[in-house]
Amino acid sequence: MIIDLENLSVQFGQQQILDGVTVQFVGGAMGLLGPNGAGKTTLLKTLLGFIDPVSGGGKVLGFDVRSQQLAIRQKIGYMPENDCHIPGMNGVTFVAYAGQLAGMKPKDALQRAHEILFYVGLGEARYRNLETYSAGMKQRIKLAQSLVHDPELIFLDEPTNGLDPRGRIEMLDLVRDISTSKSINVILSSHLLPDVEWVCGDAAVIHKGRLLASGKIEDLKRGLGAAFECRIKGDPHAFMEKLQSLGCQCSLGDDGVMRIQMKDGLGSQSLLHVASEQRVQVRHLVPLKQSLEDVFLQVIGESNADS
Amino acid sequence: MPIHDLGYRHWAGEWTSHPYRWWVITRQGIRMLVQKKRFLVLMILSAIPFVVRSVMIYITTLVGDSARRISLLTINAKFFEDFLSQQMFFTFLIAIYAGAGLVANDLKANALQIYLSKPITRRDYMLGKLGVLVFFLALPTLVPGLLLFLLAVLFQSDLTFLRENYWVLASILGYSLVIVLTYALIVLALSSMTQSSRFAGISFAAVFFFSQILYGILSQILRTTQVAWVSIGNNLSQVGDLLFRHAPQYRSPAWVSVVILAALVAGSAWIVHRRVQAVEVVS
Repeated sequence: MIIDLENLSVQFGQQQILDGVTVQFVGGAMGLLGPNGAGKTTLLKTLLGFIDPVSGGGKVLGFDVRSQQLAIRQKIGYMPENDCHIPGMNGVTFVAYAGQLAGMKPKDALQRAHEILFYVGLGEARYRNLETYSAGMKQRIKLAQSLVHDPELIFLDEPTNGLDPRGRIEMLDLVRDISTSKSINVILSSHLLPDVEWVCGDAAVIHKGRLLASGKIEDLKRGLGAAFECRIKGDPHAFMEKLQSLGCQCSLGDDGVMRIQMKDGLGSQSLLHVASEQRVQVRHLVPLKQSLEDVFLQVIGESNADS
Repeated sequence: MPIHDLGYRHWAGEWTSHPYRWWVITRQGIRMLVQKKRFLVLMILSAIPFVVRSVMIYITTLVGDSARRISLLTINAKFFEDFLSQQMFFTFLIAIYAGAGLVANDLKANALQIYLSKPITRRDYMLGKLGVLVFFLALPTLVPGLLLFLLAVLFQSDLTFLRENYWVLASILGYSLVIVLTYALIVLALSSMTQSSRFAGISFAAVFFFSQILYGILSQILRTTQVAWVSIGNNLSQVGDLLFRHAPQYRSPAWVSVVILAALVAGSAWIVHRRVQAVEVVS
């Protein structure tokens, strides 16, 4: 088990930032999803030992998050969300220094820094001062410093922030390579759902400090039930009302096309049955491929409705 | 195989032991400062008084007993205390140059997250940064102080000087450490309170000048030097006099100066420890 958290809660003053988070992560790549301010970064920082939980606890790589923070940090890498570097250094000095801070000998750290900088695509820029790096290069150097000591697990906090489309794809390919070919476990925190879907096999959705859903992305999608794009001849509102009374979610677009999220257990037969009951003609019915965004919107919607 | 063909490889080398992890920070800090030419010039200038005093010791040896009539050429405890007090001008400048940006620049560049995401504690970080300052502040104080004492012993034809002044060695060590720790921790504390190294440097200078001006005003109004404890510089002088067994320069009790300097050092260390956080919690 890479991460095993039980009822983890974090408070800043009177404000509850994480509320009883219980999650397990067996390995591979897991996406930490949630809107801005959901508590994703706080969760990562708690796992790193930067913040003490007020209750609950757990283990990262078998080490206790409350008492074995140094042992955890020895085995993990962290790529922070915001721009950060050590002033006055060039790329190779910075990464080698990060290696030494992690406990590598200077010679080993320097050699490793060269290797990692080539791996992340900064080989040609390694002797340039960090202050002259572009946004994309700064993201890559942050990734390099998190990898230099060969961690078993890396925390990537919004790694595609500020990247152009090409840079974003390159970064995601790099992260995917790390998790699939290099056997390094990845926790990717992002509010960009396609990024998570592209890289991760697992996902955990956090909203207002609470864990709303977690598991394999395919399982989460399957749990949603079928979805259809549908156009009818007749009164769409009565048709939608009937579907909603059965627990389905419907929305009507400007072009008259409805998007119907069926309740778990209901399928196209049920939809056609309702159409028949409401005396409307189904002119167009196409099953929709579920995305992580659908999962996200559903669990966030349910959470908002509950509160 | 060329490095760029290697790709990512797992690493299975040896780790260094954790208790010395702070030394990585100190070593890097020293390396970065010695690359600055202006700083090197300042360090070289700070060695001039040492050269002058070495020559004085040599002349005293040449002149012999008649040198005792010239107070400037008398090699005794006062000679070493005066040297260290004189060096406070350079330690002041070096503390500003080397120390003002030590934490402030890391705060500005969000570097604390990098440091503290590694197996480094806040104490390691503090010790590492303090180590940089102790190194550069000991160079114009402790190191030349001990060397001057060694020269004074070596230039004598017998061991009389050593027999009479052996305790001065401990005084040099003690006074240097008091000066170094006071300057180092105050400048570190001010550096940790801002993201601007310039502001930290100005604040450091202001703290020393303001306390001296305050002493000047109070001593004029009250017509006594009993208020010397309000000035950091005066407190250092009082402790120096205590360690070198001289009558104190000011009428304020020496123990008050010891307490004030101890409180300043402890308070500064507390501020740095509080300010060095990987997470800024806004309540």
